[in-house]
Amino acid sequence: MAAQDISASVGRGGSNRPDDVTIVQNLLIARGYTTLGTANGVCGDGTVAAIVAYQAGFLRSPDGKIDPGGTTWRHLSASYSGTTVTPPADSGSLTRPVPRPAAGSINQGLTAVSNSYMLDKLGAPLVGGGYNTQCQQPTQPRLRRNLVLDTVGPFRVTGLVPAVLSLKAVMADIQREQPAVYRVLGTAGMLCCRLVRGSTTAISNHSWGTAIDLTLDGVLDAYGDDKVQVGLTLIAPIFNRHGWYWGAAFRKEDGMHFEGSQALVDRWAGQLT
Amino acid sequence: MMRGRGWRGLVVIAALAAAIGPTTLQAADAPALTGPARCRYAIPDGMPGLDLRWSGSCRAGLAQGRGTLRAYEGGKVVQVFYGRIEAGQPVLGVIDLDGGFRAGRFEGGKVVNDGDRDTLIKAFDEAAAAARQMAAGYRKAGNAASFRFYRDKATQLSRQMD
Repeated sequence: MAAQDISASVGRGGSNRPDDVTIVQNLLIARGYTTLGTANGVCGDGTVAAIVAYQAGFLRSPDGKIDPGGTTWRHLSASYSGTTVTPPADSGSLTRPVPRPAAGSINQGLTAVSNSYMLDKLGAPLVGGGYNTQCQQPTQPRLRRNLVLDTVGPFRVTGLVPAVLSLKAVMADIQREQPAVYRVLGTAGMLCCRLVRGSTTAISNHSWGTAIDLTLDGVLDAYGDDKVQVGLTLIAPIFNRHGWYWGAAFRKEDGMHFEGSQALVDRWAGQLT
Repeated sequence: MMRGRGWRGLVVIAALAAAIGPTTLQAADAPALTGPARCRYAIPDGMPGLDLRWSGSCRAGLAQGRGTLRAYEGGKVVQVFYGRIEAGQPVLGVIDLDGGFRAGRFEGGKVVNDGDRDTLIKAFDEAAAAARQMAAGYRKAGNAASFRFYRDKATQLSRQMD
């Protein structure tokens, strides 16, 4: 099915005719920007923020505006029509760093987990403590019962069963919607019980097998530089719509990191045996 | 017990090895060595090889131990390997790219990342230690700007895998 055309510009400073805005909103919602709710034809701050976040995936300087026949429109309409979004020319362009998206434009409707939340929902991974700076296997019986090593898209991970199953669904969507990114996806690990660097109390969110770090073409996105790889911006909306929180929004940017949001962890906790 | 003829044979082999030098005794699949004769090293795969400088220890004419291998273009550093080199070959560490890192253990000059988080943590630990070593050197030399750069790089590397 071909996408409907827009007759005039939509977004920041655009004509914003209601019919055009509705078309754009529906396309953005289909791309994972579900916090827009249902399309209403009104171009407010949320719509502009979603356009900016979407543009960050392929524009150096997102302007929050979509013109008929323009670059953003070609990306947006191509994805809606079921055809493949034009992939970057080579994998190197997928690892190109771009400014991290504005805080309000990603992880919409999702809340990051805290240590206390994880401990409350899933318990302490190591019975009796003993965390250090190196990876350890969980000793908590319930957690151990619910761990699995499985193939997730192009790689294998060890994680909590419902988290791994959710990742499989995420990867299936990435393969369909962002095949160029899927081809270069790798992992820097999922399960790892240890302390956060420099802390004697805070436990890494990887300790429960509900978080994963990704690589693109074997490259890890640099931590804390307020930039993220282009390829990550293309797949973050897919993670978000499955309830995964993107670490690009952390106080210290962690672009390669995705983890189950509060709502997701709450649901997963109820599924454990 | 080894007889006299056997001893003589070993002495000949040792003398030949000394004459040939360590660079030609590398394993057949090891990358070729480059750099000054007093401290040669293999270039980690993907790094530009025109102008490289190793900051670290050397032994028997080969880079050895923790250190930093910097690639220059036009007098500017464009890429850096932070980590450990054994007998001239990179074994564990991180290549610092624009906005990202290749990290892990190295085999035949190529980084091997099989998703093992423990190995990656060790690679970044080793890289952070190499950056701290650089920072300490610059502080001792009174170069405040370079000291700060490598101190901050060490912090970034040490926190990458949290």
